[in-house]
Amino acid sequence: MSQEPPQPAEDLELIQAVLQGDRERFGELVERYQGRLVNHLFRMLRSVEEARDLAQEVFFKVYQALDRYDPRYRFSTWLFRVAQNAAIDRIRKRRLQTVSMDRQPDPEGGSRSWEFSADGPDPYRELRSHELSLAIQRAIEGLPWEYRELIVLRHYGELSYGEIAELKEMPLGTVKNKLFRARQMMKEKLGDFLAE
Amino acid sequence: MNQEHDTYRLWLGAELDGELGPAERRALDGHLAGCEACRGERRALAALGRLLAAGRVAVEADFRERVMADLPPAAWEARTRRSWLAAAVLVAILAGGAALLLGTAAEPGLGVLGPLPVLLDLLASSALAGAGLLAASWRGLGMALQEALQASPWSFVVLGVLVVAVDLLLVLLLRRAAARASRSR
Repeated sequence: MSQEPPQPAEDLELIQAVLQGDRERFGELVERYQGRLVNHLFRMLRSVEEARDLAQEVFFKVYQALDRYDPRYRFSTWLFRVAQNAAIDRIRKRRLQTVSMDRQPDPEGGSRSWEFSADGPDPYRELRSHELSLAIQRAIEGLPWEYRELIVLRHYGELSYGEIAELKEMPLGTVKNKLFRARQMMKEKLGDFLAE
Repeated sequence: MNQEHDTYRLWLGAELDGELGPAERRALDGHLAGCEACRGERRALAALGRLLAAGRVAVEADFRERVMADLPPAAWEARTRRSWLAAAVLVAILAGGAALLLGTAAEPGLGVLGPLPVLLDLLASSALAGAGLLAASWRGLGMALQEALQASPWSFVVLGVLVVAVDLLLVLLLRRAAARASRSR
């Protein structure tokens, strides 16, 4: 694992400010990572609502453990590690409730993972977005677990290669190779949409 | 597809992710100029990137506010505030107690300032003994204890408690300095 501190200086500054009693500065960290975290969790959990709830919980956990944060590593890496663990716990709990993660999303039940806005300008477009989202979800879930994680971390968590390597504790070259293979599989699975 | 193409296709992925170095960029551009298959792969990867980006969801506008409103108190918050306060209050109470106790033994005629020199001596001894404890200077501690024992049993008790309080304060200071150094690394 990398021992360099290549994280943006602002993350560390914010953390230090929070630890010195400026609680509100934590909101800046939330703002900075909320979109990436919710999208990452959404693709892990298949449900927007659940992703938002869990993202909130992850921020709570991180806040409560902020004094144990090790600045030798990037904050983003730590945050996403907490999120990965929380998502895996959530998936395990679901499995205990006899819902298999390996099951393809049910087109009927799929609506719970996507929200239509009542005042949307174009219902057809929203339907198309819904179909696309489901197709992406199916393609991601059709990948082997390690590839699935990398695609989600890169495209929805928007982590850099360096951050993914640090998070997954794998060499940078391995990250590149696995992402390459994962994308080849994704292209095959999403061929119809890519041709449009 | 041969190995050379595999390398370029790895670089196409890095290009999509904005992680391509300048030297790789030059080599890739040179290759793409003469390779239609890799240009097609580049188009396909770009389309995949756009497709995946289109599958992102929006975060509610008030997400941050909700997180901050429900943010639970952290154990470290209480620790950092209370530990300083508790140590300071403890030292102040002990110092006050010591002043009262020693005031009764002070020389008459010195008024309210009577116990002050004695108290300062005692605090200095306590600080020395505290520092001595940390540095494992048992000799200094022994001397301080002997002096205290010779004065009165009350002095001995007060000195003992002050030593513990000063040690506690020093340990807190050291831990805080170590944590700050660790964070700033």
